[in-house]
Amino acid sequence: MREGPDGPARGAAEPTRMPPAAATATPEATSAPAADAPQLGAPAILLKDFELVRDGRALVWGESWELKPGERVLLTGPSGSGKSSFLLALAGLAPEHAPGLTLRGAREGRPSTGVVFQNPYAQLACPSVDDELAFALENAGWELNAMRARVAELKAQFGLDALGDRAPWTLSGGEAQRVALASALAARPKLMLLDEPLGYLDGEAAAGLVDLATKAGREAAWVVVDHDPAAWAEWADTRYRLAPDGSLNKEPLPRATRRDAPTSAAPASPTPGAPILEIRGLRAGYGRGPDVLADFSLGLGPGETVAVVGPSGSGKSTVFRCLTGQLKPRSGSFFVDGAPYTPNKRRPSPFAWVPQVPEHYFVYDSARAEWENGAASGSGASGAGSSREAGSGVPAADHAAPGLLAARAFGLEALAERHPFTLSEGEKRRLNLASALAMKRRILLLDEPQFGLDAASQDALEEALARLRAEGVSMLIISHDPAFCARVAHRVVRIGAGATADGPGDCPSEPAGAAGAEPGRASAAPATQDTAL
Amino acid sequence: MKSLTFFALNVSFVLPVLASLDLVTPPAYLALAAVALLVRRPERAPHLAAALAAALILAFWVWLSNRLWTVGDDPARRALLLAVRSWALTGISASFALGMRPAELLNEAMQIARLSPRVGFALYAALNTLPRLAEEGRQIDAVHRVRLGGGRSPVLARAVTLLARAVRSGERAAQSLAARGLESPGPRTWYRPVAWGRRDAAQLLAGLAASGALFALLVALGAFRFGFY
Repeated sequence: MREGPDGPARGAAEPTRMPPAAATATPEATSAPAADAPQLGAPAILLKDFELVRDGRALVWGESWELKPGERVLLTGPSGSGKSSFLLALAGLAPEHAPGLTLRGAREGRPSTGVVFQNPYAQLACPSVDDELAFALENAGWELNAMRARVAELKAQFGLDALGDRAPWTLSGGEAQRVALASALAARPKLMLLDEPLGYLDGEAAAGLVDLATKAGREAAWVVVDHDPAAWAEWADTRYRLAPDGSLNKEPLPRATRRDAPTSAAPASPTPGAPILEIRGLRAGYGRGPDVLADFSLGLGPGETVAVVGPSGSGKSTVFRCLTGQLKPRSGSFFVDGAPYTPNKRRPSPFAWVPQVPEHYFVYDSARAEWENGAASGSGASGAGSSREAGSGVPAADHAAPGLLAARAFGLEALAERHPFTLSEGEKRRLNLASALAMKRRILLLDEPQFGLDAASQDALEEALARLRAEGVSMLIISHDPAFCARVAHRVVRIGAGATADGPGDCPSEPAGAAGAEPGRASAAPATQDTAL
Repeated sequence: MKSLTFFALNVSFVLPVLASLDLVTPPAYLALAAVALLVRRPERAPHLAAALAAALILAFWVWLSNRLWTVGDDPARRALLLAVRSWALTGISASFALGMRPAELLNEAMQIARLSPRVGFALYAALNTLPRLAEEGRQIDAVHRVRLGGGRSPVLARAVTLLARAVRSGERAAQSLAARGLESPGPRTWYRPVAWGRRDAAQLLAGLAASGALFALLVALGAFRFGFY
């Protein structure tokens, strides 16, 4: 399987999306096109007759795998196949920092390494951004003035000039991931390993990070693991796919992105009816800060799926916070089934809410308890004491039926006795949905449901959402992925930074798949108008 | 005054208070802690003024209580002494919190007190994780409330979720730090170097001397009474 990169040299002539300041301050950004290709010479890493083993099971194996200096490799494969473990082994972190993981076989090359993980906040450990950027330099024993110069260079290169004194946990996801990438590159490593680095980013921030990786040049060899290979298609030289049997197979780079996938599959509109949920003139913000939402209105019809899309910080999550009583709106009103509704987090809610992080939803210690008690919660039993701490007071058999039906619908029966935390990300998400469906509440709130899922899991999610649509469940989805929303929603409401509350011209509501051939319904709730800030 | 000095002085203030069971030692060391705070962070003076006002009211109440309960072994008097000690310890802790910058203390501890960088950066990572976990806790509570019909989020379920996420976060932080060379054998340099100078030594000795002198004075006057409970 000894295969070198055979893709054409790309990237030098591509348009850049870097901020101007960062682009002009980046030495690598002005590198000659000839440098934008893998280098010849001894491989950065050469594995022979290797086998990556975790707890006695071979995750990855092969006769030979080579990474050339400066080569850009994209590694894909299904969830749980061992991609992240392979990166940890390449980084030399196994088994010391990855217990139970061992790389057997012959290995040549142990280059200095930078690693970027999916969750940027989990990997930033220093008190400020400046300290974070300097951390690898301190460990390498750089002299103080050289460190200061390198930190300044990195801040200019990655657009971090204004963030030097900020604590990492105060940064946005996009900012934190830029800091993570910059700090990994700080000591000029010869090997960069990125494990799903776009997972926490909206489309714009993700594109920006790919651009930064492009501008970082060929000083290092790169291996990137991502569920969405298309995001890296223009950047990568080579793509390997990790098969379920653990073999590494070279594959052609994708040419069409999942995010740009055709939207002709946009769901057919439901029968129009009086809106089941109306949001009128919502204005909200945090503390004494400015309005995050201003004059936001939205109508959700029975059986309708509406998606609210927009970049990070545009106020999508604020809509859910207001609906669920976590945040008191500054003004505006809600109506459920035409009657005024005042959200109160201490009272029963008409919503079933599936959060962005699937684990936040779990209360019980088995998948079966999750879906059975989902039915109990929705059927009027408060369920407040029905967790691991106490019984619900409702005999399990009484509410097992709707839960079991939901579990069957989502293919979860075989996982009934598993602890929810031991499931894969896709299984966790399906368990969330099954439990929410079993609650039989009329409106389902979904917060970034496609978040962190591989292609297969995302396909399963979309099938699950189609099933919910067929059940006539009204769904309100917030997401940063317009193409996903176009596939699963009847209607998409755009909400974005830089938009104003002037009206629908700025923040249009449009039928899902509006860019495609299939027209959709403009609004399920003519009495309201979807405008947003 | 360096964070490390401030830390050491506060330890020297806490120890005599912990060992005392009288009405004079705790407030005396609380006053000394306030002086140390003023030296380190003069901008905290308004906080101290507010604390002083509260302390005066408290002192009047203690004086009044002491006049009412004059029997030495009276359980009520013992309770009063324990309360005064607790208030003083709380006050010294608050003074320490007002004057301390945790990141600065860790930086000095690693460079001056030779705290292992592995431990120091693990503590840095924990400091970054705590606010995120607090926010996650709020999110979990909100999701559970909606799910459970407005009922409180089960404490155990929330704790298990937070623990699992904290463990994973800690594992990632350790991998990230190791990948960036935290355990490399070569000499380490510092982006924010600090050095221990004569002035720092003089400040520490002066503070410890003041603490020791106060203790000697309290013993000499018979005000200090040893006792834990």
